Amino acid sequence: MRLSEVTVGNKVKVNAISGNRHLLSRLIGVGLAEGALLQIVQNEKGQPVLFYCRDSVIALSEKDCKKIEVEEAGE
Amino acid sequence: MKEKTIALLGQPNSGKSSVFNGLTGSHQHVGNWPGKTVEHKEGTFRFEGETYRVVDLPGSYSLSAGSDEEVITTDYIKSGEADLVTILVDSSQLERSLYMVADFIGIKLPVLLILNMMDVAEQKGIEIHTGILQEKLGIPVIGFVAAENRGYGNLKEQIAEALKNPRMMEQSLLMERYAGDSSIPFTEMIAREKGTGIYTREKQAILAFEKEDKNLMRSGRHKYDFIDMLLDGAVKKTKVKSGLERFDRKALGRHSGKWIAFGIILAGMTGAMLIASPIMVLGFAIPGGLTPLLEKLMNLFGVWKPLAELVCVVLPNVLAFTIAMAGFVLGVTFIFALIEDVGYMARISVVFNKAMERLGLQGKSVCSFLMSLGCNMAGVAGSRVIDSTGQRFLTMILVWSIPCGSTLSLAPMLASIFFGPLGSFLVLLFMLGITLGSMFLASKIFGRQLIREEDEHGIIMELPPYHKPKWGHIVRMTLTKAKDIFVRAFRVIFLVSVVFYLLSYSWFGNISIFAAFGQLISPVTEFFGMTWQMFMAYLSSMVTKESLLGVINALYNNSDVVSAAFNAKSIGMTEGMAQLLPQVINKPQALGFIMAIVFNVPCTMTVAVTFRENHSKKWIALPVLYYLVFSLILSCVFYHIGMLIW
Repeated sequence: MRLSEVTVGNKVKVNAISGNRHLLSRLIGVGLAEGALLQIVQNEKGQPVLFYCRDSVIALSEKDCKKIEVEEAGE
Repeated sequence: MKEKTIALLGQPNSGKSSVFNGLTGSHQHVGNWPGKTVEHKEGTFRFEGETYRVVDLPGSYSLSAGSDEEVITTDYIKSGEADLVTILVDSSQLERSLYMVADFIGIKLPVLLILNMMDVAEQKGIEIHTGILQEKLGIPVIGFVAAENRGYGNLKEQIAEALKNPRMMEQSLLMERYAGDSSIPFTEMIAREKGTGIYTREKQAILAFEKEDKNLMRSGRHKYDFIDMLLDGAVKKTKVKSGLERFDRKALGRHSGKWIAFGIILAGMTGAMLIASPIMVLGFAIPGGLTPLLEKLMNLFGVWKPLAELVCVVLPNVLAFTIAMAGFVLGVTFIFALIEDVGYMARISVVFNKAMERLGLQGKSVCSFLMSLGCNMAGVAGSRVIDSTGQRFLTMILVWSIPCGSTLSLAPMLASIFFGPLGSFLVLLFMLGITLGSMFLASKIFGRQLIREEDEHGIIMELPPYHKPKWGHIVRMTLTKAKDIFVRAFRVIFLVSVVFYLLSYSWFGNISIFAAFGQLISPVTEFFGMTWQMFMAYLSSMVTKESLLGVINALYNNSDVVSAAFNAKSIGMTEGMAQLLPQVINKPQALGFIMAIVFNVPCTMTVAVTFRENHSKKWIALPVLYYLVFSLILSCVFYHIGMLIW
């Protein structure tokens, strides 16, 4: 499942991210590394996806969310 | 003994600039890093008889070389110039902001860790035991609130202490993560390194591992796992919150968010004007007082007439204009610094992200565009928050399309003389449409060259929690910017005005170089719907938009061009002018002319500020050419359409 497809309130774990070096290091810098736990707080069509990740709310563009492979994570 | 150097390192929003200001007060110097468009701030403070030098490194998320900010930060640290590196982290977001610490481990420099915004952490129910962190990291760790003045004495003492007793970060906790990963031949990798320079062998091994893109994520995971282990037992959370606050749900909503943003921006612009107007009034009052004084002086010494006029007319007026302009910049900068500081700016970027993506940009560009409605210069400077160079360049070019505060007051005024209130409203609507059109067109023309497809970054942004404004910080920043603009604007406008004056002075009897040139090219300008007088006004609108009214008035009245150019703003649209213009200019010409001046190259200062930001002759020349051609074509088209109607 891709991050762009996750609905509000769900918790997911990051499995893999595809992208160039610049994107990867920017994402790691804001807390998105392999294994990171995310909780989606807003996912509206045409808007960046908003999620909690490591104490912070992060906004990430729709197209970059498509590059992030996630799986559902329980409590 | 040489003074000790302290480098401030931290992620954006960690409160780094507050700490810098709190430490150095007025003893600071702002410039640019050599060859880069990133701000370089340096300052000093004294403590117990010794002077300390503080270097504020640009805010960056990590030490991996990606953006200009990160390259500068990494290079500076590698240079080993700093005697102590103080790393600032946001206590309310330790899990994320400690990444800088994880990235720094293995660098052989003494470190002091400052946990900033302890008050916010407390409010969020986060309890932090600095002692445990200190023990695990092997360096001094202090809790801090940058916004409160009383903590700085203690901070200076801690810095002095950390310099006397330098401690490097304990690296084993992090290295164990890598060593424990069976997919990495970590021991062999370490053996290959020499551990020379600023890095330990283990750190060099990590850097070598991260050279391959596919390993970046794995390495990131180890660093965050390390942070989790570090925080284990050191941090307790009593309240757990999830989901957005009620206001944020509205402020980030797809539709409601836009309306809230419009409302706040409108209120902000009004506020900016309220701040600016007394300064502008003051500025425009200067010539009235200064000119007679200068005239007397010139008479007294019997100065050569052209020179005397230059001094009496140009100097006071340039001063007036520059002060007014600085007032404008001050108002706009203050309001936007406030919106940024309370944390709302990030929400605006999210809400308008989609619209910006259509231009090949990202949400952060919208702030520049909004500031440009007040003043294009502020918009250009505001593009600094955009972390991709190509997107930043394009944002600056598109800013030029946006009618600024003075254009927005001039154009409807002109339009109402020719077309009445309803007509002037229609003209405004056309302007709005063409502004958007021009932005799209310019983005189509220049976007491809500036932004390669893989560089089309989407928004990656942290939404900071809302907090109370730090007034001292905002006021200081605003004043620095306004002073900077004032000095630069004075130089540029003075120079341009002198040239303008020399060209319009009647050296040979009744005709100036200006008029002679204008009449010569009038067959060409007529095609675009402009008389030569109008064309000269069009040219002068590139110096400052306001000057065009005076120029056109003077050229038709055969009076002193320079003095009129400057005084147009202060005397406003005189009755005589409102009657004169429709007699000498017909409606189609007027329509074309309004479009031409609105979409012309922006004022000289905006162009100069843009050059200071992008340092590129090419990316000044191309947009100048674009806006010249675009505005002349518009003028031509609207003139000829007008001819069909009237």
